[in-house]
Amino acid sequence: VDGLRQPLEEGVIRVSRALASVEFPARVLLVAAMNPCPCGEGGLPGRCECLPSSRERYLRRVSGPLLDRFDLRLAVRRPTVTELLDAKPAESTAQVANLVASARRRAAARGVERNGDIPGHLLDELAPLTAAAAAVLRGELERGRLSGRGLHRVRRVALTITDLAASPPPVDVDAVHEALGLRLDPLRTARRVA
Amino acid sequence: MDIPPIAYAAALAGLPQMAPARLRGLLERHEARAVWDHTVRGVLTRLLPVPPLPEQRERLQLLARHAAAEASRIDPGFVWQQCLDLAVTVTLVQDPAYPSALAADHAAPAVLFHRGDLDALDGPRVAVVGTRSSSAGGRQLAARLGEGLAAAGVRVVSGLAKGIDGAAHQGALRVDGAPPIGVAGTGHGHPYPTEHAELWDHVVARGVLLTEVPPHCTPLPFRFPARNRLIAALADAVVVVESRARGGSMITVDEAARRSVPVLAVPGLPGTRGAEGTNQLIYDGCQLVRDHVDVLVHLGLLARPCISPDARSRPAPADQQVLDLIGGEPADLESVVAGTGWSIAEAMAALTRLEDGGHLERVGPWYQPVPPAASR
Repeated sequence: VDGLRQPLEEGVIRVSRALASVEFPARVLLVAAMNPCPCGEGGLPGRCECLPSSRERYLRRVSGPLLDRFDLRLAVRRPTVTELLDAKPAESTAQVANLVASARRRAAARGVERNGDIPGHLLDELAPLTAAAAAVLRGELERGRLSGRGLHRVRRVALTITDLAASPPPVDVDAVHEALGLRLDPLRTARRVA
Repeated sequence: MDIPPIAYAAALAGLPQMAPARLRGLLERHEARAVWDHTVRGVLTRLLPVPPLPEQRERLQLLARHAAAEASRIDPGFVWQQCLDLAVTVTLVQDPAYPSALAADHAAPAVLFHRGDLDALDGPRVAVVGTRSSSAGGRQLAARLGEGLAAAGVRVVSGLAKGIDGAAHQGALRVDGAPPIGVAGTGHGHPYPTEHAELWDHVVARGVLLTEVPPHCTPLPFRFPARNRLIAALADAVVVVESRARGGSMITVDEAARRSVPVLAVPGLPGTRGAEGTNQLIYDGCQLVRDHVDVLVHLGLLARPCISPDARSRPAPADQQVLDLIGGEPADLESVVAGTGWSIAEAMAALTRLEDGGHLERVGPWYQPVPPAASR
């Protein structure tokens, strides 16, 4: 799976042979799912039967750099009995499609098909941050919870969240927090604050 | 060879008949050279300040004869040369260099032989002692005690014996902390037990190794109880890790009690041999010791962390609401959103603040409350 890192980053697959080098378009939307641990309880303290070491070994099978290239990372819990039996209808697909289409129109106005395509050097121009939002990202970087690549990705996601709310840039602190919340690190155990 | 007067004192200290108080009295009143000459000639009784009582005379004359026999086999020049060769410093109790920690003791050695730095004695000192036939767990605990005490700046005093004693010093040497203080029952030329020769060298290099006998003295049974009194005299507290009901450690305990030095003991499983002595001590009212922190607390060098207040700043009321929601149970972002009715952004912001403040810890997708003591 780690071989996908380069295509994911550049959107092309490059095949190089002795005489020629060919590029194939590979702009994909990659959706992947994994179990949180061997037993499937996701390390929920008290419920999970996995040893911390075996859980970590299991999670390490997906490399950090590969995880870093996913814009959205969510934990999906096992639904409770109530949720299974009394599910309220969520937004319809049509409603969501409308939202997505309008967000796409905003992206198109920036000259890209999707916010994910905005090159890093244009982020300051196309997705400016409020001072508070910048401060939150600075804190995450300083605490080592965000990589350089992750920073760009979070900013693009935060821009999309802003677009979905149909509000104009700059990207505010709420959008940044929400984007961070959608970027879960399954391996992370926070260092205890002294 | 031209030998200094102190060489005679060094040679005298090696005679089994020279109990510390006796030798101290003799050296206070007479030149070391004169004491030696009288000893060799078997007329030591002439140096007594008052004539012996009739019932004492026979015993003292016998003692003088034994001392003469012993002394005839020893050359003060050789003793002195050995001290020079082994870099052993000889100090008389009258000397200003004699450590004040010992000088005040009623049974202070008249002559002290040391290698290393006597300054190592300056500071809090705790003896860690126990049986030679120790359990692996006992040695492990002794090493952890030694390590923790040394790291906290407390000098570990011990007898360099097999088992608990050696383990305590090995632990103390593991960290770059307070210098170790070794008290030996044999001369510097006879590391005992032999397998601890290297430990002796480490103690000398990092701290100080004391003994009250000259380098040529080999292990003799009566030297070890005498050594134990020095351990008790040097210590601000004595910690017994494992001990049988009777034994060397209990002699150290008795000597400590005589000097009002507090005795602490590590409990053991009743029925195991190493627990007989220590559990009895605890039953008799000695302070119980679980780890080095208990010792530091007893010495007044530390307050137990768990009784100190929560160092973290109080979370904002809204964040406290999240903390209450999470309670004792771990929760993920989704359940916080569901529980508070906030937006993802609001919940995430609160969780991030609580995490940064040390109130929460993240394990994968889960947030868990951090108890006050653990955050320190």
